[in-house]
Amino acid sequence: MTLPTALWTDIALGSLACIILLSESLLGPRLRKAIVFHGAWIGLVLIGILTVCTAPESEQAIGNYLIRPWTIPFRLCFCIAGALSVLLSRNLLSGTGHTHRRGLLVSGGVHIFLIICSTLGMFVVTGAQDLITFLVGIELATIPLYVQAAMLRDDFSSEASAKYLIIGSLSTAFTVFGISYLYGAGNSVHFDTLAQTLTADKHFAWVGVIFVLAGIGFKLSAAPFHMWAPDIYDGAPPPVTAYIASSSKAAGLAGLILLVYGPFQQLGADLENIFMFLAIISMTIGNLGALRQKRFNRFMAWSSVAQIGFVLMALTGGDLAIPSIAFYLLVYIIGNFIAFFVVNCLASNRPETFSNMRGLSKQSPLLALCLLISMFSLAGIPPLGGFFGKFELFLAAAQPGHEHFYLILFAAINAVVSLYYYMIVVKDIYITEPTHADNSTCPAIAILPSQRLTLVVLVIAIIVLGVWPAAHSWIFTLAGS
Amino acid sequence: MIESSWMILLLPFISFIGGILFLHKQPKLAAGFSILCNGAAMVMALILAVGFLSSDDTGYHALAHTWSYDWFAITDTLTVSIGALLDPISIMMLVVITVISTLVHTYSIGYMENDASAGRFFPLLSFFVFSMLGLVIAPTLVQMFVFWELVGVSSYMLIGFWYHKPSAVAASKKAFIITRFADAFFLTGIILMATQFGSIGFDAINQGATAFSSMNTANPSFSLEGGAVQVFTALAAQEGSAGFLGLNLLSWATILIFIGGWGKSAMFPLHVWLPDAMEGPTPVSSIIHSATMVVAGIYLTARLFPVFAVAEYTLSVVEFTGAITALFAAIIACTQRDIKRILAFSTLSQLGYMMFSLGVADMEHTAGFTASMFHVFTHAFFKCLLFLSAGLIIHSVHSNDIALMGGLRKKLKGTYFVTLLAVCAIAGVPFLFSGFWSKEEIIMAAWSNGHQCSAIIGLLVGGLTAFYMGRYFFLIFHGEYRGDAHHLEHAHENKFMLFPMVLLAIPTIIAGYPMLTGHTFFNTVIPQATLPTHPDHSASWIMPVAIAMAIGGLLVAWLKYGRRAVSFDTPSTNIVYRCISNKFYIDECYIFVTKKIIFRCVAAPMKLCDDYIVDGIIHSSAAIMRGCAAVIRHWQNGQTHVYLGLMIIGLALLAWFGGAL
Amino acid sequence: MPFLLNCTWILPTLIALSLMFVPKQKVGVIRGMSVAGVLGILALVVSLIIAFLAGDYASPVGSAETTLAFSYRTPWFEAIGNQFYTGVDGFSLLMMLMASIIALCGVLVSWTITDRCKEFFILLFILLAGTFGCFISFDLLTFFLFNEITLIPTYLLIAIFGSGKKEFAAMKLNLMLFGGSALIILGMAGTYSATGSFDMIAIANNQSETLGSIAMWAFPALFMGFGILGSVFPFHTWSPVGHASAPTAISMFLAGVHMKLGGYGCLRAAIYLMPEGAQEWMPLFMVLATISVVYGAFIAIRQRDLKYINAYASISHVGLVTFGFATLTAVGLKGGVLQMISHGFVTAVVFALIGCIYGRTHTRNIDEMGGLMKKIPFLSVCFVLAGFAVVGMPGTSSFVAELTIFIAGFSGSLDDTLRLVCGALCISSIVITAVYVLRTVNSVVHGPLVDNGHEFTDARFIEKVPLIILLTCIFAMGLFPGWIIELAEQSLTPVVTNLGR
Repeated sequence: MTLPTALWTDIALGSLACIILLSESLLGPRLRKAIVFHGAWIGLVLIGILTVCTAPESEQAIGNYLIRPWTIPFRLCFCIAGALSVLLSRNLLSGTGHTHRRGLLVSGGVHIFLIICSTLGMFVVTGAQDLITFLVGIELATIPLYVQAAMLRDDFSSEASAKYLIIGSLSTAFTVFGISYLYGAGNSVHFDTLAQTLTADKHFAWVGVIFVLAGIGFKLSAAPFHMWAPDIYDGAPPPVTAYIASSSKAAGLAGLILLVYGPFQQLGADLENIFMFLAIISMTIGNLGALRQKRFNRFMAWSSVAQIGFVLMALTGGDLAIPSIAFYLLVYIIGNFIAFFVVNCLASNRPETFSNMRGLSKQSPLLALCLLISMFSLAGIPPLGGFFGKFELFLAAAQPGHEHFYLILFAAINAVVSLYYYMIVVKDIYITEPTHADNSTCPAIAILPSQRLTLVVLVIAIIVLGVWPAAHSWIFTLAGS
Repeated sequence: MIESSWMILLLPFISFIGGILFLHKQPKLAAGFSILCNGAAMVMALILAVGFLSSDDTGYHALAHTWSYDWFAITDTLTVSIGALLDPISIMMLVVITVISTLVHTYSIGYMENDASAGRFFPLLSFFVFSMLGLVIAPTLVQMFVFWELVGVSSYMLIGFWYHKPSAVAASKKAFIITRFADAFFLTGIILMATQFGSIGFDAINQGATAFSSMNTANPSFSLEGGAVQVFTALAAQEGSAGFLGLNLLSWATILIFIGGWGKSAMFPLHVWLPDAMEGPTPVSSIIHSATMVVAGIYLTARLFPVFAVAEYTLSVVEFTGAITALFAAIIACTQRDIKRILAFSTLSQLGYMMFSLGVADMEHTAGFTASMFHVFTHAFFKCLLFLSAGLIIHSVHSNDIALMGGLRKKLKGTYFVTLLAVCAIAGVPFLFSGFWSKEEIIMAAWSNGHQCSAIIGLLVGGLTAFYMGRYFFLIFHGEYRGDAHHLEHAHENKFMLFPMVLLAIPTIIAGYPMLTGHTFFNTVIPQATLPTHPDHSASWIMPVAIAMAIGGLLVAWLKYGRRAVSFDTPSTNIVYRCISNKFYIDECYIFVTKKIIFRCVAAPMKLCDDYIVDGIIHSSAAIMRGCAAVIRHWQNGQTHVYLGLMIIGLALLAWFGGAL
Repeated sequence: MPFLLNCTWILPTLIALSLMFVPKQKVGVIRGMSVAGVLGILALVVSLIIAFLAGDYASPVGSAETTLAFSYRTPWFEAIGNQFYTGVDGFSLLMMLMASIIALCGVLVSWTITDRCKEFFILLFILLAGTFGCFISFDLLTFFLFNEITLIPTYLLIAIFGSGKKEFAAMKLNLMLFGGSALIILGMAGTYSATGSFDMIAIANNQSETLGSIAMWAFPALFMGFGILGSVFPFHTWSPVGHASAPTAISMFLAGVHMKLGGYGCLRAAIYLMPEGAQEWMPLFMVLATISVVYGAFIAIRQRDLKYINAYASISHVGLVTFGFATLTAVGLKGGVLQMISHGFVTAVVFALIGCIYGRTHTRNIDEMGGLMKKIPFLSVCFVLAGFAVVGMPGTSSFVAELTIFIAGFSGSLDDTLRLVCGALCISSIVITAVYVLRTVNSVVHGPLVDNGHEFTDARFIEKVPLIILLTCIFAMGLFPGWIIELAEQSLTPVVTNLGR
């Protein structure tokens, strides 16, 4: 049996996890620092490149494991998000000479290892061909995050971890329960069989569908399953927050698409209604929640709820849904990471509240500009990547046969609301003069060279994605078919 | 000469541009330059007129389009062009305007000699003249509107010439806005004419209308070409249509156009700007009242007379308006004390004459038309003279109030004499003076064409005119001086001011004589053979009655004001008198309507609506969102069990929505 | 030539980029580069117009390609049917000419800005790039993209450099304009779903039933979307507060050019693409336009702040553009286009003057001014002239434009009572306009001099230049509108043909 080329990435990822774990436990402190940190992000980047290089033209199967071309962009997103989280951890790892306001991670090596494990879990999700593999993948992707969330020694971190674990468990329970119903209704766990047997007239099947969707809704932090997000984002260590905000959602979406276009494909129109409901609820609640937040991470949590609403809107549509979601995720992840990088720099010596961001443009024009670009990309302003990303989500919902024009109008108005709070951020960093109290307690902002470089690369990437169609058309070739 | 008629238009414009750009710091040079330019224009206009009179063909066919420049195209068929249309009435107006402008410019040297901003005055005055000249030679409605507006602009600048005086500024604004109000109707009328009758050219409109009216009289005898065909067809097409509010389209269009003239010629009740316009320098008043601006409305009506005549009700409106204004203004003039206001109301009254005279004419009986133009001609000179003399008097006694004058005949001999001539002319003192002939003609035309009511009003107003002009004259020049003796000592007659007045005295007398010679100069704009019917002398009683009214009016004035000293100390308590001397409270009505109704009851609610309803909805949507956000934050309270509970509720909702339950 | 055409947005982008590398202390260099930049754009536009007039673009009817001069087309985000498709017709060229002249004047009036001068000019040039991009885009998505690009610099320019309630104003302005974008997105989604393309000319030539039925709701979405930018009642409230808070140059550019993008979009992206929708919906927009015209004028009467007065005047005059469009006749469309150009110059010069006067009086309340004619005659005379331009005196560009629009209101058959009533109301607005203009002029430049007036000095050279340029444009267009009308008429032929199908 020959190994499909596309499987190499999964194997490489597994190996990378092992190497990191081994070097963490076996190597001396000096070497460990270099290999664990640099090895991890370089490894993830290389795996990302490998993913692109080995992208299959058609589905490649090995047993019940199926590498689909459309999942390649998602896998790339996982790798990028993983590498960026590792990079973002830099000032929370021991030995950089900087100390973060919230202390260092309990164990940097384990943290990085868990990131890679979680990434591997996401890879597994995208390769799943039956419900069991799917479940395993989801859990592999999620459980490390519970641990990571507790990696700081403060109460917030512990509380976040505990909440995440409790709510996550409930959602896992939903998923498992749903899967059992699906099995009951479809008489199989295999996606191909389920695709034939799950039909809209089976009420029994619907129970399963709803529960599974609720479970995935938790991963996506789609309303009404979003309530954990603000608390966890605020309490978890910054790189973990960023990872949860990006990769974890990407995985959830990949899983969702897998199910919708796989076993649930016969449920069609009714499923569209559910997504419409989720989309409307998510964007509305997310937007309203994000208004008048005072803490940046909570704000990002709410905004991500709203963003997921837009993505779910695309799922009500036709063929355009998968590639547009994939492209959107790419720009969304980059945009998010820019914001988290900036705030992480800022937060290393002050609480990450908006009032502490005032006057940022004077203290550090680079960070201010990056944050501005990130916010505008998230808001969908051209010529940044976010514009086309978001615009395509709208188009996806307007395809012939799936014309959800009211939804589009509603979403477009929501996009305006979201613009409001993104602009508030811009206003805080560029226009509002810091009050004396805000300013006097703030020491200078230190930016690590690696993080500065990453920021610049990311900003360039998000502009390039917005004006240079190469990545866009690559995704469409892979995912459009 | 006809070919270079554009020079007449250009010269005042050069005077304006040159003066405003280069000479505004040198009043003397500016004055000289503008007199030169206007004088040259006058000479050219006179040559043109002489050439015109001496040619054989003085009827309608003498219409000459001498030059034309396509300004811009609106549709394929409708192009706005700027050009010149020379025919009897426009040549007559050219002569009147340029003559008066030259004289007024000369007069202004004396009048403005102590004014620091005289350098600005002469160019602006020239601009005024330029605008009016452009108006009278306009071959199309749009060109007329263009210069019509420029007349408005220049009058605005001249009335508000002393811009530091709030009253002058207010008067200029009032003049502009009221005429602009009328212009909105005018513009609508033009647009209706252009779009519904397919032409804006006077030629085409008038020819079409004439052909149409002669078709009605079963005499379809001449051929049409160009735009006239369109006009003819359109007229024929809308004949008999029910129209809108009982008026057919043509009546609408023509009445709307006439409203433009209504405002410019300050017909009742749009007259309120004219008395206030006295705030400007007196030379400006004299030129506004004689040759420019106010006669524009009359001129417009005359220009479009054939088409007005074809329309069902328009001429009746014209007649009615004119007659009312004539009477109304004459009554007010009897009670005024401000020297310039008396003259202003007398102008209104005379304009009323001209207007109703147009209204009493029709396509068969054009005497009224001729009479009206005749009155425009004669009135221009004696009214200009009256204003110039008033300016000189004001200059001498530093007051506008006739209550503070009296006995000035000793001090201002020349003025006394020329004013006497002008007063006789306007009062209609028989035979020697021009005003008599033209006014006589008007009343005669009205009576003979069956408009007895207007004719009687005309006679009545003739008496009133004689009375108030007599009052004016006697109060100023006779009796004892009632003002500050200090001023009287310095009173003198500036030669620059006196000279044009003396010159104006000549036409004041002789301008009426063309009447006796058959007045070919006043041949009508009306094409075809409907030659001016000479007034029907069947009503031969009219002339004696008119003469009796004039003499009687003057006599009453002499008895009341000339013979004995008059006291102005106790204000009259007579309610009728007070009502009249307050101009029937029409200004107050205007203020009520604009300040109280339009500003308070229309504009203010709109602003409130904008602030609190239109904007309020937008702001409240933001407020609603903030409220919802607060609710959401309230539930986001960090309690894990709340989150779990809500998740399960959400699940139920999802199930319900998905149809599983 | 296509490259030169694209340079109109590339050049400002490059200038914005290179300004980023100039140290912010070197104000002189920044100003120099900015002036050079706008002059460069002006030169580009003028050379394009010359080339356009020299070329044979006289008969634009016919196949899709020939309607555009200097067209350039390359696939862009082609997976969703998007192309980078640029080109011009006479209409766009005229708008570009106006925009570049106003931009030049805007840079000149911003000469006094020293605080954060660098940011100011960078943002201004981004705004310019977006604007010019809009005028040359013939792909709906690209057009929309450039339109969005203009909004953010507007926000920052007002919020950073403005006065008064600047942050509130900037936010309100931006949110309302993005609200317009939301409607545009809806409309675009509709057209995309019906045609699968964003190519404007292809969509305009598409006569399928699907598009026809979608146009029934996509048209109002697009028209109103752009109409918000054109401040059509009841979505005009961003403009007074926005204009009042913006710095002078930005007020000029916003009211002069940016608002015109709304009208441009209404014509280009709504009426041209969906004539069926236009026929169906125009009565509504005609009513809204008429309300804007009359309502804006009446509110201007009640305002005391110079900028508010002019902002409401702008609402009123831009309403005439919409009214012209709403008649859906060749004359009306042409009138609308002329009014857009004319109003651009007029409002720009008024805002420039307000800036100059404010710099001296330090108040914009007309009750606190008076008699300026005595001390600052140059500015006062310009103010009076500008006032007459607002009133629409013959000789100024407004007259030509307004006359054309009014004629459109009454041309053709008179059976359409709605059109007649609206037309008559629009004409009546010229009286109300006269009221507020004269009131403003009289209380600012006439009357007794204010107490502190003796210190005022008349305009300096650098202030005179933009005023003279703009007034010259107004009078030049008023006196010799021939070629402008011809260009506009030519480029409107496809739209009119489309409406007639």
